[in-house]
Amino acid sequence: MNKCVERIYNGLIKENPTFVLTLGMCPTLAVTTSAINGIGMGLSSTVVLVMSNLMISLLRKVIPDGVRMPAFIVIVASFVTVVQFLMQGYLPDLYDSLGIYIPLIVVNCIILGRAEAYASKNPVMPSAFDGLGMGLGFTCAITILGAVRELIGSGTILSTGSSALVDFTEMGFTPASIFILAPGAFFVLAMCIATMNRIKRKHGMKPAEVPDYIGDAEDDTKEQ
Amino acid sequence: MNKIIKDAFILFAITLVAGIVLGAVYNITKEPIAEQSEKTKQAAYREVLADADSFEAIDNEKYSEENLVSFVSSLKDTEEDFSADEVTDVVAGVKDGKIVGFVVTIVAGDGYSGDIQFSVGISSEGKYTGTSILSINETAGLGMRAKTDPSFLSQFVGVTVDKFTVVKDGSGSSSDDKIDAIGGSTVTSKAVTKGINTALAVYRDLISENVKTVGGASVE
Repeated sequence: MNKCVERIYNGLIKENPTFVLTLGMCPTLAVTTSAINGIGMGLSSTVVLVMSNLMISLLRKVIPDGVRMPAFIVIVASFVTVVQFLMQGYLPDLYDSLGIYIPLIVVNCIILGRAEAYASKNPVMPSAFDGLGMGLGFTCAITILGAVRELIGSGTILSTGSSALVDFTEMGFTPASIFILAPGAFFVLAMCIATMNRIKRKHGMKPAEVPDYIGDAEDDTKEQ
Repeated sequence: MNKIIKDAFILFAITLVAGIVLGAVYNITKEPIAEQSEKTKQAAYREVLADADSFEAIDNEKYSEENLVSFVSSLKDTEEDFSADEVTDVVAGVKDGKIVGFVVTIVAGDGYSGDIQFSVGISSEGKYTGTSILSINETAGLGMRAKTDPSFLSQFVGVTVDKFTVVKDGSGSSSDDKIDAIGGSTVTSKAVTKGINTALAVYRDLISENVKTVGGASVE
């Protein structure tokens, strides 16, 4: 069970998919115009990530090496479509605000990356927790990005479109629109990664570590 | 050779299972999804034309779904170019057996990023009663404000004109038919306004035809 906790820590901090691995940049840059969008995108990706990691880990001995990529993509795409149908039918408000970004989860390379690098080589439980950790890491990262961009670019905190928790524009704050446009995403992402590296260095860690599963994944399997 | 067949067979099996699961989920969620979209539609009609008790289709072949396309292209020759817009739906709002207004659903094809679909309400006297955006994919924080910031769409409400014009110099409040563009989103503002002008043209046509609903209600 310790391994599962370690996986969540790994996804949140040590190998945070956005700030350390810089994977999944497309949704990271595209949807983080508000914190709510970040949360919605992050959580739906987490659901898909956990389910696909689980399924791929279950099938890891069945799927032949030669066709693993198409097999992974079929599994991931199916889960995304299921999530999309369910959301459209039962959570129409969230579906409206995420819209076209839901199908994009399929091509989020965090999901395929975790399937390839972890789930296809490790037992079911750690793989599911790896998905959970990575998903939560992704959610936290893009929520922080979204919150910062929203604060500077629209002058609001946790705005849902029609109403906001705090609206600084009413207090005479002029938002810098560039922060909710594409360049702002790069500015904020760069600042976040720099901050993350700074904190890591302070605690005596290397800024970007070589993932420890590279090369010794086989040993991991034997240990179990 | 054996390996290829084995690989192909396993991939086929995975795809088959995925297909069956997707089919099952689609069947389960088909009804709720259709219900949601019908609900959204009715709510949108009500939002833009609050006076009406119910909404009925119009009893005239010209406004049936198949004929709307050719009907709208006949409008295009008038003073403004509506070629990017598409009218998908025209219904009449009825109260006490009389038509109190019309709801026209427009797809404006010249938004900044793709189609903007919205319903427009116009009372039987030609007064603009409201707009409801059904689908929009404009840039969040910019064009998206057409939907999220009510100050843009509220400029149209309560006005009786033949045509709206977008202005960028902030002079929108000086005249009823002038509309202030959303800052930084002129394309979106123009697309929506042009769609609304299409709806006004459809309205004029509806009045000149003196249409009846399928339930027999008319304007007079």
